[in-house]
Amino acid sequence: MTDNASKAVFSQNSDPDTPDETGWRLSASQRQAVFGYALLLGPFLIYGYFMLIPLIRTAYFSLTSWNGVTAEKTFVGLDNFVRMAFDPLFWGALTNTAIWVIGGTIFELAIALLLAMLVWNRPRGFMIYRTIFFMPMVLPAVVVGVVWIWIYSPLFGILNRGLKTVGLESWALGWLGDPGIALYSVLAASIWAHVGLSFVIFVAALQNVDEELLDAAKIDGATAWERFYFVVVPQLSNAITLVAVLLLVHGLNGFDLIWVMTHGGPNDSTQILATYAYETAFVQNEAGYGSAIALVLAAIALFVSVATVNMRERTAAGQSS
Amino acid sequence: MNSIGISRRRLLKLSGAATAAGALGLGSQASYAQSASVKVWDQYSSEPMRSAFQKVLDRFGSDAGYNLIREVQLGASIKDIAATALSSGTGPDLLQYSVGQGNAGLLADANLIIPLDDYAAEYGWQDRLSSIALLEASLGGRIWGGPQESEVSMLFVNKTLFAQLGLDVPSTHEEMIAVAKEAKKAGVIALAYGQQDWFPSWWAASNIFGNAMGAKATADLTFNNVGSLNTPEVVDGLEKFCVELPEAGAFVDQVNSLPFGDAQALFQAGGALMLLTGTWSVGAIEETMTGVDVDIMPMWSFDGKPRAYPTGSGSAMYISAASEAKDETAALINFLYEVDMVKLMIEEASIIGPVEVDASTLNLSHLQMRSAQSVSTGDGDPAVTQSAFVHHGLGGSNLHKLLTGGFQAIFSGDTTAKELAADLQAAWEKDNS
Repeated sequence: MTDNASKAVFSQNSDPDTPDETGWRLSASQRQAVFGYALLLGPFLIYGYFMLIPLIRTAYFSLTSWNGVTAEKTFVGLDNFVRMAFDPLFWGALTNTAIWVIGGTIFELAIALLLAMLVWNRPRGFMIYRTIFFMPMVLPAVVVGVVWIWIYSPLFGILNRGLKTVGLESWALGWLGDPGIALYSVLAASIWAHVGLSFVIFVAALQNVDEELLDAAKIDGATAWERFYFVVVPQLSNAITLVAVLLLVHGLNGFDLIWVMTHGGPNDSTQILATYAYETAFVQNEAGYGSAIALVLAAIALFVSVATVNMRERTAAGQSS
Repeated sequence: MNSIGISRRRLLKLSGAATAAGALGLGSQASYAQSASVKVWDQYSSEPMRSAFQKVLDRFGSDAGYNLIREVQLGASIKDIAATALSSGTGPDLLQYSVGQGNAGLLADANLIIPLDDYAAEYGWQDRLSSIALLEASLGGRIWGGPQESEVSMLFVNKTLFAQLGLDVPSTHEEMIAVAKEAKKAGVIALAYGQQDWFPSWWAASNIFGNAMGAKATADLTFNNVGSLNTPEVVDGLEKFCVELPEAGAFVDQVNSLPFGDAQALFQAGGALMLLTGTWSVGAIEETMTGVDVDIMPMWSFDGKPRAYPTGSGSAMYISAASEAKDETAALINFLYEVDMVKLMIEEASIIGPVEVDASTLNLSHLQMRSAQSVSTGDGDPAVTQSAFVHHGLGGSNLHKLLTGGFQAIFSGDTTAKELAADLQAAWEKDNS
């Protein structure tokens, strides 16, 4: 239906901005806008109720001293944020969060790309490899955590047993019990659990790589590494950016695996901001301080998300121009 | 294809009938609701405790004519949901919850549970229940909960394995060091102990403090805030357990990596001479170690001082302030102290109630009997041989955190016994400031 036709059907007043006896009449474009906003209202109410209001309340709680149970909340202004600035556990958790997010993103991206390259030419058993690499993705974090606790167990774990069997006894460590390596041990489990999605994205992206360019580079004498770095990687840039954004955001959401495997221990060595906020609010019963930590985490997540999306759009704009 | 036709008139009639039936159903529900309905949240989530407690509830339900709604909660998650549920009015009438200021104390501070002094007086709990159990369920001098399982922390001893290795069960720290060295030579772990979880170090700490400070001093600190954890005795006890024992090879190599379940499995599989836990493990040990001579004992002596069992209640039953059936709920708590119910729980679930029963009338295994003795008397003069769980009483969340993180730090060499004792005292003072 054309715009004029709709006017004919819905409006009998020749001047859409002039009120008739029933009041103001809207033009078609105005009605369309109202209809659009009406459609948005439902999702906005849901978003507001489940996202904005909790966020605003968290911001309010962060300005209070509250144990999370009593009705009484004492307003303390910015005291929780001042305390945070001098809290070594907070800075430790922030450092661990940076290691978790940046390290996790880099290693997972690299491993996924490596695996995808290995099956690029569709070797025999390609479907089996793809299934095996992707399978951990469908496992709940609790299952992944429990499986890796067993793998790392100093008593029954296959990792230490395997190392001892091949004569590497000195490499058999307390993977989750040594504060120096516990975070990396959990990170390894996390990478194992989530590498499948990145792998699948890269496998799909590799199908679009122009093999003629590779052949040309080969004829020009480029080494395997040069062909990969100067020919393949640029053609995967969109996929790499997408995977990097997904991994960064996912890394900032990290909580479940650490909580299942170490509860932030030993001696807070695997504490990231999310686990520290939870432990502070719900185990230490300091909901006010926990809210302040959660708010900082939310601000970091927001900043990283906006920055990466901007970077991606800028990259895309650069490519299209 | 066969089809059933229905007219509009017939549909209206059926709808009317359904509405009437629904209204009648609501009416009958409403009249049923007028008889008491008590919602119970307990933590007896595993067998045989779960079934045994169900029998108790069934008995009460049939005797009193109440409608009992039971929802079993995992101990690990109940702390996350209890406060919210109680404050929102969707919680239980009866809540089984951990004792102490850092646990039930928060619910009491928030007026989410009610004090039970009047019910205690009405039912004579002061005369019938063990004094330490009542003390555990009390806060600020008032009784807030009906204490449940009475328990001690201690060591299980595989006497069969000791005999096979030609070793004597140690009663002093020096003997324990010698046993650790001999056991290591034989390829056996002296003490199955892992502290990857939060709680095993809490038990270890209570055992260490009780034997280092003495039973009375530990109880005075735990319940009356009299004394200190930063004393030479505590430093010495921490040094002995957390530094000297690992050096002697008493534990698995990576104590911080070992969950409690794996430590217990190691003992059950005959790979360790002793296991640090408590009477709550009796059922699991008996079930898996048939044919093995297993006994219990308190932690070995430090410098000839008395050995004490940390004694207390694992949890207590609390009544929600929002409950509309407070009297009925209190009656249910009191029913748990009926001698028949206490017998049922100890015989079928190895849960020792806070009420004294004639042991000769019970059908108990050797380990159950030993547990009952340790809970009852501490194998001696209770004033000397029964200390306290230091994480109960006035122990709060700061102490809890440090008992876990601090013990992990000293085992990994990141802190010293002296520093840990000072930190523990600082955490204690923060909890009680």
